[in-house]
Formats: sequence, structure tokens, C-alpha cells
Amino acid sequence: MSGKKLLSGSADALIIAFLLFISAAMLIPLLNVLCLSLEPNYIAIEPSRLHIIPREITLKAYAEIIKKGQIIISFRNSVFITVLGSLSGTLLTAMMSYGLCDANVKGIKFISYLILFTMMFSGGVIPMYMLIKNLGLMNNLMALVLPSIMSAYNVILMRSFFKSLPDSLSDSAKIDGCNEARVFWRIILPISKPIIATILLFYAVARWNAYFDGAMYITDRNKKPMQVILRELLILSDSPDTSGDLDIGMNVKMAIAFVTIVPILCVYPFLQKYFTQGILLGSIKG
Amino acid sequence: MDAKIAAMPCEAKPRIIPLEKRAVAVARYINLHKFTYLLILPGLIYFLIFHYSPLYFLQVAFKDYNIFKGLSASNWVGFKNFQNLFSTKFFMQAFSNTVILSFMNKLFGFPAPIILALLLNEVRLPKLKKLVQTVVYLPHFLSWVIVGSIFITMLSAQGGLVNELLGMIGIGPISFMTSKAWFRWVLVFTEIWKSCGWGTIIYLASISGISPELYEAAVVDGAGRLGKIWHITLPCIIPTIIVVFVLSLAKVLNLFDQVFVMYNPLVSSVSETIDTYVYQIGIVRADVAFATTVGLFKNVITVALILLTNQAVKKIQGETVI
Amino acid sequence: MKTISKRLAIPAIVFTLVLAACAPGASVQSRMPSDTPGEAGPSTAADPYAEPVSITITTRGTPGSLGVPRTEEIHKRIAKEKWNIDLNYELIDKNVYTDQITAKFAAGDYPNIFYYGEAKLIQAAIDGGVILPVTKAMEDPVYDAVDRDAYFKQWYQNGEYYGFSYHCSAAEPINLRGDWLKNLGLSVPSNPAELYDTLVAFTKNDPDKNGKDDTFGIAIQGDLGDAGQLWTQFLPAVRSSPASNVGLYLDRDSNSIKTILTEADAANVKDALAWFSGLYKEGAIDPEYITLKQQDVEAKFVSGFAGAWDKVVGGLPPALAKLQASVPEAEIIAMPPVTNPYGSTNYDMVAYKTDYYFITTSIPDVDRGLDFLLWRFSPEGIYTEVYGEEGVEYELSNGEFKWLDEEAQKTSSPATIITRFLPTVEFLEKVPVVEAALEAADGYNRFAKDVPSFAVRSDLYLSKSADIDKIMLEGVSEIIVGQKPVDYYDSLLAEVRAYGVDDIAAEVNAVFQAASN
Repeated sequence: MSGKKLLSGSADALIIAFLLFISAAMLIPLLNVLCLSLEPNYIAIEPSRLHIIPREITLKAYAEIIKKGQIIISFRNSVFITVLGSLSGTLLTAMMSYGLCDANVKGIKFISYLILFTMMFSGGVIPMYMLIKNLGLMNNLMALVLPSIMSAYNVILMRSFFKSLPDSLSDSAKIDGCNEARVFWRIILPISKPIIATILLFYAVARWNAYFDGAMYITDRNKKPMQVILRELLILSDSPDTSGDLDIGMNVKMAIAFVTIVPILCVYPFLQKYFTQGILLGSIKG
Repeated sequence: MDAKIAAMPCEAKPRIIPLEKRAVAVARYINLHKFTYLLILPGLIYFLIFHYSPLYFLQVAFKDYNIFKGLSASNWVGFKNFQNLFSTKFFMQAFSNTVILSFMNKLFGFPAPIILALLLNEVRLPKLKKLVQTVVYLPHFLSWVIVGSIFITMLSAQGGLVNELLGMIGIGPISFMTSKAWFRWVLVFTEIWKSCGWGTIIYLASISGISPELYEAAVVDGAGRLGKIWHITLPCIIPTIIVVFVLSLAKVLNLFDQVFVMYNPLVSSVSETIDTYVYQIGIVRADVAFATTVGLFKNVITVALILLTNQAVKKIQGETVI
Repeated sequence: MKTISKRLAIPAIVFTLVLAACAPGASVQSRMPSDTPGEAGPSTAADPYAEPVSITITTRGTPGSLGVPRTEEIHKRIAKEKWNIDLNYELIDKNVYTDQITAKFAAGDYPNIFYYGEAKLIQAAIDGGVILPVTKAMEDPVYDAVDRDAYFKQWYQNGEYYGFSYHCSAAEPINLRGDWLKNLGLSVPSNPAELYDTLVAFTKNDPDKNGKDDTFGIAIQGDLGDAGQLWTQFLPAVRSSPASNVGLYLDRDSNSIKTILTEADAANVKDALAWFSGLYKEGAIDPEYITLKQQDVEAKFVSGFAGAWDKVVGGLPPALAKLQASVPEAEIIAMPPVTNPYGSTNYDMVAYKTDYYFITTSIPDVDRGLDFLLWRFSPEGIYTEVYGEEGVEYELSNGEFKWLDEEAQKTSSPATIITRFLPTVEFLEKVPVVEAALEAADGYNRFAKDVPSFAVRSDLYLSKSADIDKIMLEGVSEIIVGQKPVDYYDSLLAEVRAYGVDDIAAEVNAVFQAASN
């Protein structure tokens, strides 16, 4: 017995050591970004070395970001798009994935392949632009939500999770008199918290980081999402009308990169509790 | 006709089901499964509108597209655009680089998040687990523009961090970024570094769905830590692994951002990918038809790859992924 | 019934959301002018501008990037006051600009006035009658002092000018750290051999006197995109190096387009290669240069590691400011032009950044649009973009210039003045480093005939140039870093010539000749 404990003890230690090493390796570039964002520009642009500990600290880079017109409004827009997009996307995806589980129903297999193909074929920018224009969604925030509300990847992923749930789960519920809808809402979904949290996270991150559609379809300054506004800072003067380079500064660029990560850092811990083990406990019995 | 049929004995009568009866049967079938159909209906509408309707534009790959004449009035040129693509000298090189790099990425990069997820799962201290998890996700959120330049600095033969460390153990400075022998490994390794943390999420979700009773049963049967992983955890997440693998094939020919940021003329012969090569051509050509042609070519190959793998998967786990 | 309605509830909600969202939103694009078409009829001779028109200028950029922060506002006011134009700037992010323009054209939403650089689309638009001629503006007397033939004719076809030329590249001298020259007791180099020695001295003799061996002569981009003036010390006005644009250049004597990739020119190319590879061997070219991108090169210079920088004069004031933040006594001096074996100077660059505005048939009044553009690029208009408005952003008393607005001062780009086509525009504020650089670059000559834009109208060029440039770039890089000897150029040249370089040059030249008449 003690031999086993010893073994698991040193294995534990090894694992922890390895994980800490990996974490440090992952942290270095992030620390680099953070450090650069806190340095004054003439130090930040020094090439050929890693900046981990700032020689001099200034908040000027972040001040530049806050000063930027529309930054608060764009933050609100991004939050709106992310929340609406990820919640509705996850709901629709869950519904569709569960529906696609029933491979025996006629047409389901065909539709599954249909969905798969959308992952691989795309018409490009021009037809999408025309579609959005014809739907009247030009310069409308919903143009950033609707066209990307679902992703085939997530649908297929979620479907495989639903398939892996034991049939006894729904069978025992049906014996108890639940109809299909009840089974779905009351039994399957609550059990599937891990995958739902995962898909929600995937959608949220995708919406939050999206840039191209915000830049393409929104012309009204007050409707632009945060990524677009932030990237404007990176190209202070790139108008073909002017000459010379008014570069915003390396420290501001790094501050922008850091700022876009922070919201994710805040959201993730809330979702994390859904990734804990053992939710399936006891549900089959009885 | 009817008289002839009426004259036949019962068993020999052909089973002609009149249209109305068929329609009724279909309606009954739909009604029986209406919950299923209703569930998929909104999503189906979404995919049809936003993903399928734009596909009409793909015909531009077969046309000499003039933006002002419009798509329908532009001349049909058949496979000429594709011939233009294949006749460029470096297309084969770009294609083979893409395949090689993808293969290396899959071989080394696909298992990495799985192993990391398994390791993370073994950590008993919840606070540490949470911390490590959050940290390993972070590189995924930094763009290659930022991460690439950091790596170039770290790997520099003139005082970069990696070479300094190597120097401490007596290995001479290696010019990783300009060496044709090393550069592909640089790309693969940095790609793993950036994406393996994020990749663990799906596996952790999968692991969390494993019933603890299975583990208890294994312990009773005398399984140690390794045994539990090998006999319980891994088999339970194999379906997830397979799905993720097959789905990842959809992006297998897309290699742009990382290579574009990190490559240079001395290593381009081993790292130029389809996308970076097309980008260079595109600077000159600025051609919608050309871009669509390349996209279509990649998509067709990807589809073939996925379908093949899908069938192969049937042999392993008895059913296809799709 | 209850269960059915519950099942349907959520999909129904989603559907309603979708329907609600499909309500048409305010669309800039749909603002197709339904105003009176642009004819100021005789009955309104008293006030031709009685009817307001709405004109949108679509260009790349971000708000505030047009010049000083209030530039857009000033333009709108002037446009309204003078011509009753409701002016609007549509500023599109550069990353999506090409896609936007392409999509807009495909959808039939032609911008009123727009900036664009892709020749193929413009040519198709001209052929399709979508782009209106701007001859009236380009032949305006205000440009009589300008060599129209040299500067405006790129989009001159069938007797009409189609592009409103407004911007060409500025002087791009080779800039050196003046204080380092002083520290080492060196004078400004005036030919490639002297420049070579200077760069080596920058590398080996500790010019910043900090006791560390951490400096080198010059940093350049890995793709040789910015080293043009170094190459043209030996070669005629190629775009940036023999490894770009199939080495095409405009030979002024014969007024034809030729290529440098011939056996006859090989000796000169090899001289250049020897120069570069020699410097690299001495460490005078940044050993990391092959991995450097544009901003890295700048970083090396402004952080005090590199002693030379090949850069357009407009980039000098901010660079000097950054340098002086850490080294207060830093100075930037421009090297004078060098005459190459072809009789031109290394600063005689083809102005490859010629920019144009195009006007489409969607504009409600082309004359007023042109009037505005002419004002916009007149000294008055240029000053609003570079300095702002007198009394608001700056004040000018007795020739003394003083900034009143700090934001404007930070975002002002004085070099813009020299990139416009009216050479008589004076700097209001004296910018010593720019003026010194311009003076040193005396003999600087600007061409507005942009070889690459003629080249893209040649099918041979389109199908082969990317490959040729790639082979050249790889080979030249290998020579410079010493992996191959200079004589490797002979086999490199043979390989590339097998592609039909001469045919490409001939075809591009044919396009050029046809377009010039």
C-alpha cells in the first residue's frame, strides 16, 4: 500500500513539475506583451531581446486606448454581439445536434452531410456581401450575429457528445412517461453541461474576436465592435492621402493585444465549473 | 390498365401506391418524427440561407470574371483558371510543403492536447488545475503577428534566449529561422505551443463526462493510476478524439498566418504553403476568380480527405463520424 | 397542446428575433443619389450651386487619419460653403479595403469618388464606362507648371484622363546617424565605396561610444523591399532590387521599359551583389536582416543599433523624436545622390506609390466633385490636412509658425506637402531634418510612370512575375548571406531568363507605349 502511495506521490510531483514548466513556457510571451504595454515607447521598441520585466513603467499606452473615441460604445457593441450570438448559437446548435442524433429518421443522414460540407465550401466575400445587402442587414449589428450564428464544426462536435450518452437515460425517462421534448429539455440538456459550456465558450470567443465582418458590414461609427475600433489604432495614418508613417507605438499595440484577452480571462473561470467530473452520477439508476 | 390489374390474382397485383396514399404516408411519417424535424429546422434554414445560397458564386472559378459584366455575362473558360494555377512553377512545391507541414502538425500536434488534458486531469489540487488551465489557453488568443515576432526574437542566432540556453550546455548557436533543416520543426513546435492549451478544452469536457463508477470498478480490479488512464479514460474519450480529428481535416490545407509571419527567403523553399504562395501571386493578380479557384481546389481535396477518413473510421469504431 | 406550444416556444422566439433583425437598417450603400443629375442648367445660371448634392469620397483610412483631427470637419464645411456639397468621407479599414471595393462593384454600388490601386479592376471599369474622365481637372491651368506627360498620364486613354493624380512618392534618401559620423570623425559618404567603409566603421568602431560592440551599419528588410536606393547605386531605377517586378525599369533615354535581368547588365548586378555580401560578411548589414520586417528595420534604427536607414523623408521627424528620447544628441543626415553606371542617380526612383482618385457614374455632379478635389489638393487644401486651420490649430505671425493644438501637432505629417503635385507649396513650419534631407537629395527626380501598373496589363507578366521574383529573391538572399558565391548569379540569371524575361519586358513595354499616346 505504501509503495503505491509513494509511486503516486512522485508521479504527482513529476506531473505538477511538468505542468508548471509548461505554464511558464506559455506565460513568457504573455508577460512579454504585458511588459511591452507598460513600457514607454522608446524602450518598448528595442529589438532583439525579450522584455519580461519593465525597466520603466507608464500607463500611457492604456491611456491612448481609453482616449480613443467610441471605445466604450464599441465595447458595449461587442458584448451585445457576443452574448446574443453565443447564447442563441448554443441553443440552436444544441437543438440541431440532438435532432441529428437520430440517424434512423429519413433525411437526417443526408442533412448531416449537408452540414459537413458547409465547413469546407465557401462562396467568398462577394456573394456574402450581396446576401447581407439583400437581407437588409447592411450596417446592422445583426449582420455580425446572424451569418455566423452557428458553426458546422460545433454542431458535429455536439452531436457526437449527445450520441455518446447512454440510451438508457432517455429510455428510462420515456418509461416514466416523458415525451420527447421533455426528455430533451429536462434530462439530456442538464446532463450535457460540459459540452454546452464548451460550445458556449467556442461561440463566445469566436464572436468576441471577430474582426472582418465588423469592418466590412458596419459603416456607422457607433455600431462598430471593439476589435475594429482597436485595430484602427494600429494604423494611425495609413491613408493613401498622407505621407510619412505615424505609427502608434509598440507599447500601444501590445496594450491592445492585452486588452482583447482580458475579457476572456474574466469569463472563463465562470464556465470552468461545468468541466468537473461526475455529472452523470446516479442518473441511470432508478 | 385498371381492368387488367383487377383481373389478376391478389398476390400478383403490382404494388402501385397512388400519390395520395404516398403523401399521406409521408405526412404521417413527418408527424411521427416531428420533434426531430422541428429541432433541426431553424438550423437547417440558417445553413441553407447563409452557407448554401452563396455557393452559386463558385462558378466564378470557371469563368473569366469581369466585375462589371457581372457573373452571368462573364465568359465561361472551363478549367483554364485551374490550369493557370497548376502551371505555375512553384505550385507543386507549395502543395507538397503544405502536405508535409500538415502531416507533421498532425503527427506531433494532435496528440499534444490529449496528453496535456490527461495530465491536467490527474492534478488533485483544484486551484492549481484552474491556474494551469487558464494559463495554457492564453497563447491561443495572441495573434501570430505578435507571437511570431516573439519567437523570432527568442530563436535568434544573435543572442536569442534559446541559443543562450543551448550555449550553456555547450551547443553552438543554431540559426533556427534560416536553416532549411530546422525551420519546419520551428513551425510545428510553435504551432503546438500556441494551440495545444486551447485544444484541451474539448477533451476535458469529454473526460468530465466519464462516470466515476467506472473508475471505482477499475480500482477494485486492481488498476493503478496508469491503468485507470489506459483502460478507462482513454477509451472513453476515443469517440471525441476521432470526431475532433476528422473535423480538423477540414482545415488541414489552410496554413497562412503562422508561415507568413515567420518565414523568410532563405527557408521559403521548405515552408511556402499554398496560401502564402497564392498570396504572392494575388498581390500581382488581384483576381477574384483566381482566389476562388484556389479555394475550390483546396476544398475539393479536403472533402475527399474527410470522406475517406470517415469511411476508415467506420472500421475502427463501427460507425462513421458523420 | 401545452407540450406542443412549449416545444415551439423557443424556436418561435428565435424566429421572431431573426425577423425583427431583418428590418432594413440605415444603409450608407443605398444612398444612391436620386438627386438631380449633374447639369447646372442655364435657368439656374445665377446660382449653379442652388441644389445641394451629396458626394461621398471612399478611401482607405481611419477617422482622423486624413491629416490633423479636424481635417474631415474642415473639408465638409468648405465643401458646403463653396459648392453646396454635402460631403462625406467613407473611411474603410485597410485590411478589408480591397474586399470592400470589389464587393461594392460586384453589387453595383459604385462609390462616387474612390481611391484604388488595382489596375485590372480600374481598366475593366474604364472599359465598362463606369469611370468618368477627369480631363477637365487635370488640364486645369493650375497644373501648367507640372509636367503632365510625366506625372498624369498613367490613366490617360483615348484622349482622356481617367485618374485624378494627387500623390506620388517623396524623396527616399539614405539616412545616416550624423552624431555617429561626428564621433568617428567621418564625413558624409558620397559613393558606394565610401558608404561601404562608413557602414563598416559604424559596425566596428563603437560609434555611440558606449563601450559595447552592439552596433552595425544598416538594417534592411528580409525581402529587400526597402533597400531600393542601395541597389540603384549600381542599377537603374528598378523598383527595389533585381528580385522584384522582373527587374523592370523605365529607361529614360529611349523612353521604353526594359529589364535588368540580361547578360549585358550582369556585371553591374554582380557589383551590387558583391557590395551587399561584403557588408554582410563584415557584419555591417544586420546579421538578422533576413528575418526583419519593415517595423523591425525601423526599430533597429530608432533604438540606436543601426547607423543607416533607407527611408522616405516623411518618416524622419517621428524617427528623430524617438531617437532623441533616448539619445538627445542624435542627428539624422541624408546622403547625397550617387550616379550609377546608367547615368541616373540612385534617388531617381520610379514613383511607385502614385495614387489616384477615380470618379464613377454614380456621382450626382461630376463638375462640383472635381472642383472640390482641385481645392482639396491645392495649397489651401493641403494646409488643412497638414496643419489645420489658421487661428485654430496654428498661428502664423510674421512668418513665424506656432502650434496651438497639441493633438494636431502630433498627427501632422509635413512630408505630405512634397508628395503633392504642386511643387510651389511651401512648408509653413520649418522641419529641419526634412529640409536638410531634401537638400541633400538634390538632383532627386520623381517619375510618376509606375512601371508595375503597366506590367499588370500584360498577361505574360501576370502569369510569370511571382515565380521569377521568388527565384530571384531566394538566390539573391543566398548570395548576400554568403551561402553562395557572387558568381552563382550567372546560373541564377540563366534559370530566370529561361522563363522568357525578354518577352515579358517587350510585352510590358508595348502596353506602356500604347498607353503613352
